[in-house]
Amino acid sequence: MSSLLRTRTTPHLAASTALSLRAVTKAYDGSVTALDDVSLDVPRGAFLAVMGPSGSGKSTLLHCASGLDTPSSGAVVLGDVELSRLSETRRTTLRRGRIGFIFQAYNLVPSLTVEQNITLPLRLAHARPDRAWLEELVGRIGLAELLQRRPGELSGGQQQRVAIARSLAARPDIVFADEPTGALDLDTAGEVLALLRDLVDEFGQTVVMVTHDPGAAAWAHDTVVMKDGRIHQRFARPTAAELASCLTQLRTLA
Amino acid sequence: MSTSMASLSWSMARARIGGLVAVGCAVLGGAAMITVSVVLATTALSSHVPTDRLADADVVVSAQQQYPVVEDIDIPLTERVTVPADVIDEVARVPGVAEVAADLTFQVVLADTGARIDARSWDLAALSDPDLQGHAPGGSPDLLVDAQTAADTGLELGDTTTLSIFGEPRTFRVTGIADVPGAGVFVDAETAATLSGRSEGAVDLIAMTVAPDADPEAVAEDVSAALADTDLVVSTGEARGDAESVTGGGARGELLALAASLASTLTILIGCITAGAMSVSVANQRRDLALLRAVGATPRQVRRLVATQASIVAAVVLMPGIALGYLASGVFAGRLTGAGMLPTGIPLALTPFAVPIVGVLMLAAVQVAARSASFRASRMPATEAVAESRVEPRTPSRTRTVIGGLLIASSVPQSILPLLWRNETAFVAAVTGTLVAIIGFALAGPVIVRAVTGRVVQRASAVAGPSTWLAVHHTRAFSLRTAGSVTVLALAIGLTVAQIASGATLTNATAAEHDAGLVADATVTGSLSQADLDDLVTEDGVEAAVPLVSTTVLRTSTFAGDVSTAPHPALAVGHGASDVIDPDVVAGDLEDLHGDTVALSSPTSGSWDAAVGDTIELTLDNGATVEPTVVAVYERGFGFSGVMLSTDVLAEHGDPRWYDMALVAGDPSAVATWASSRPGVESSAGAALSGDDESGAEQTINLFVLLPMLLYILMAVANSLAASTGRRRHELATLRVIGMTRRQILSMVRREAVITAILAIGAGMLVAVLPMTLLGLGFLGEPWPHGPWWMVPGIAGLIAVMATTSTSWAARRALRTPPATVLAAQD
Ligand SMILES: Nc1ncnc2c1ncn2[C@@H]1O[C@H](COP(=O)(O)OP(=O)(O)OP(=O)(O)O)[C@@H](O)[C@H]1O
Ligand SMILES: [Mg+2]
Repeated sequence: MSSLLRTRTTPHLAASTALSLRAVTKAYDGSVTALDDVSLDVPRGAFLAVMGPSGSGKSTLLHCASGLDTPSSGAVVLGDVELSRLSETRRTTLRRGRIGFIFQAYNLVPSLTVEQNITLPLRLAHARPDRAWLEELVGRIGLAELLQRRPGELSGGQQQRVAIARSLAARPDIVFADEPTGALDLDTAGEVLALLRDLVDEFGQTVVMVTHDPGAAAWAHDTVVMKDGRIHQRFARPTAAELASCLTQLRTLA
Repeated sequence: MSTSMASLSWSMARARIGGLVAVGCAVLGGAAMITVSVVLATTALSSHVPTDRLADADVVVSAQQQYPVVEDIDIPLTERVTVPADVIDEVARVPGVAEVAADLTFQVVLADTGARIDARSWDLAALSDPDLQGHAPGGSPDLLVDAQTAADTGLELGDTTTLSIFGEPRTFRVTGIADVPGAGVFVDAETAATLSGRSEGAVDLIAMTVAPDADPEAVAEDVSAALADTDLVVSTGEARGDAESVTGGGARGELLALAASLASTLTILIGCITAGAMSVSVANQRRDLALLRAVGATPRQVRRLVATQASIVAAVVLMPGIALGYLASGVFAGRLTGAGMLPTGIPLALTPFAVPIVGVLMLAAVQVAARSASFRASRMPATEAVAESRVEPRTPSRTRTVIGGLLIASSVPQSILPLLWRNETAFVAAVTGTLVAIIGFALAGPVIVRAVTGRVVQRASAVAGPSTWLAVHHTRAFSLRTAGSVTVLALAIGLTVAQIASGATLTNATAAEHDAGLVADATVTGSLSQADLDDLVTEDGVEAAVPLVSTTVLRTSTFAGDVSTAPHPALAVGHGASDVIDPDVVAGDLEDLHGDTVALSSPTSGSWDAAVGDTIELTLDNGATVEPTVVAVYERGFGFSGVMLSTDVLAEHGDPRWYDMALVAGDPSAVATWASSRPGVESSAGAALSGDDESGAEQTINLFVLLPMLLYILMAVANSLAASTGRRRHELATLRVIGMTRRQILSMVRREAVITAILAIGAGMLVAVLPMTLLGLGFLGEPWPHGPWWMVPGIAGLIAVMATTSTSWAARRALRTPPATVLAAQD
């Protein structure tokens, strides 16, 4: 069980590291160890999928890596900043400029319009919105017609697109997505995944995505499979079938 | 099934405890306040003033000391209603009656000191066969003095002393001293009958002892049977105390009226607050309820679940609430005694009665509130339920807004009324107008809030920082939520301002009319008889000396077939009133106010439909029915009451009396010289009316009733604000995930609270300050709300501080959980 895996650089980009986890451990209430000495590097421009059985620590990994939560021990380094050492406020301000987050449950602010939701992080950062970028983003994601609607008036797939646009509005270094297609049907899920992949390919966006679906993971470059709070195995450009059999194996092991 | 329902509701409730804390507080405070009014009511109904002078009488016959009113509380009469003399013989014939004594009390003044003391017929005291020095009074000039009075006055056996009998000096010899209950001097029955000036030998009450082998209850029944064709009251045991003391019975009536008016106010208040707390609690559990619907719970089951939850909470806090109420009634009773509304000797009825009454009332209130609060949530189609539970902004229904608008509109004419009429009706209309407007605001509030904040949103998005922008935005988007808090806060502001300002306006209006209408040159106070005043007028330089007495008259009126009787404060004035007061007569002449006559204020004249020359039927404070003729109509009805009787009416239909004050026209120094020769009589230059103390005491009581209610409302609002902020954990977590810092979130939430408070202050001011300004303009010609200067800023500040602290507190709590955990929980 190798826990210290070096990342292979993606072919078309320089080998600079966007995110690096070093011996990260996270224990809840002192008893449940959700992450157990995890180390992981994510290169710039990579699209990394995280898989594993339920309860294996995927969401916890994402929360710690994105600065939403702090590890019990170990370090999280984003570019040149060690996230885990920052105060809550500093982490928050850093997060809104450099990290995007997409949830399975969208988590849009229901009282705001689509446009207001998308620009909210910028507003919070007192940042001037980059109009050209936003227009390009909205056009690319297919929300141009929906800007004045409220989240309640959108389908799940549309809401998830708004969440994706919101996570990208501040042009973050890295985007985390926790089961972004978990609540969507196959076709819609496919569209959302294709969109994420396009963002990676076209804009060089770094994305880390948790998923239960081997088919979804196949859209990513690499996949890590977690088990019991550790990284069980790392696949470079796996096929869906490879991943499926690995997961089945894990299930029968348990 | 029901146990599982209870445990299910309990586990759901635990997770959403904030809203239920609000329900609990509403029930706790409500139970305490209702307990107080139940204790007051049971005290009024069952407690008796302890017997003193009647302790040795077995059976007592007295007159009905209350004016019977159909379908309402009887009106207490504050002067002794007498018993005809022939009843004495009638009851003496009843078998088992041993001795019969007629009681008669009147007042005399000691010529030496001017002190006024009670003079009584000896018969009643003789019943208890007291130890005597000397002998019982046999006939004039025999006088028996009780030991206490003897000590106070220094009178000894064999002394002679002069008593003023309503102005007529008469010399007595002290022939006996005895230690008997009820201080005063005693004369024999016949002398008492003559001196009291009672017509036809009527007496205060008749006391009897029964034969040693007779049962007092059985004898009392026979006495009642013998008196069946009269409306006299026969009492035994504890009830004798009420017969003995006129004021005791009257105060009990006042107490009952206070308890009744408290009960009706409390019903509305507690109903509103409980319903408000309940709807916050339901909103907090909206998603859970929606999910229950989605998994197959019927609407009734959902409502039952909510009701069960609330009932459990209510049951938990009920007993502490009642206990609190018992404690509070002690404190409140102390206040009432201080204000003279509760006789000192009367014991509080701390009966367990309150428990079932309060229990049933509060549980019923909670059940109704819970079921209606969850009505909408329970009836949604299950799918919609899940969807709507996420998208909180809802559009308020049109009907609701329209009804609210109509109510607000209907309050406008009510508050303009004081500009047209200067009377109590207009006064009451202005105060109720405030309440109507608040209810209207509760309904139309969401749309108003949306409209007001809409403007602000547009401005704010251009200039404001993100916290302010979001705050304004939320206030607007969640206009239903905002309007709920705004309404209750506005209610608190409106209620307080209206209560304080209306009271102050009335006091000021009365004072202003006194200033303008009291034209006398001097005032004399002390024990004054008509004979004394006649003597004063013979002095050089004195033109008129007019006694003034505050009293009450009852007027029975028929409106749309309903007969109703109401008490009205009245002023009785002596001859020559026009020399000392100027009530601004608009019809007739005050000079004519002598004999069987009355003057009315113009609103009274209008509402009784009685003009100069008409004869009206009134009941005096001793139960006598009179038919005086209206001789004048005047404008200054606040300073001089709505009804002004000639003192001749009182003299004709009641006992001779001592006056406490008189207004004098003429040279003040001549008055001063006259007064200085009379012990106990004081004079002062200028005109002053006493009786302002009484309205002061009433205002203290009002404040004492208002304060707990205000605290109750504030507590309810604080709870609701905290609970609805707690409900936003998910929303706040989302914002944090997007990158909002703790400080930004706290400042956003604080700003929302400030906006809520500002809207509430604005609404409260509109609904209360505007009518109160018009009231001030109409009644005093001064267009601002009257009352202490700190009233408006004080209340506004209190509301603002309370709204922000309770909201910030709840937000801080919500921020304690890491956002990822909150979002993972998916609630
Ligand atoms: N706030 C918490 N307190 C205590 N234990 C927690 C908490 N959050 C997660 N855990 C535990 O940590 C472990 C990892 O949880 P995590 O949410 O990371 O799993 P996951 O891999 O995302 O599962 P799933 O695929 O079901 O979402 C689990 O055993 C879970 O019970
Ligand atoms: Mg997870």
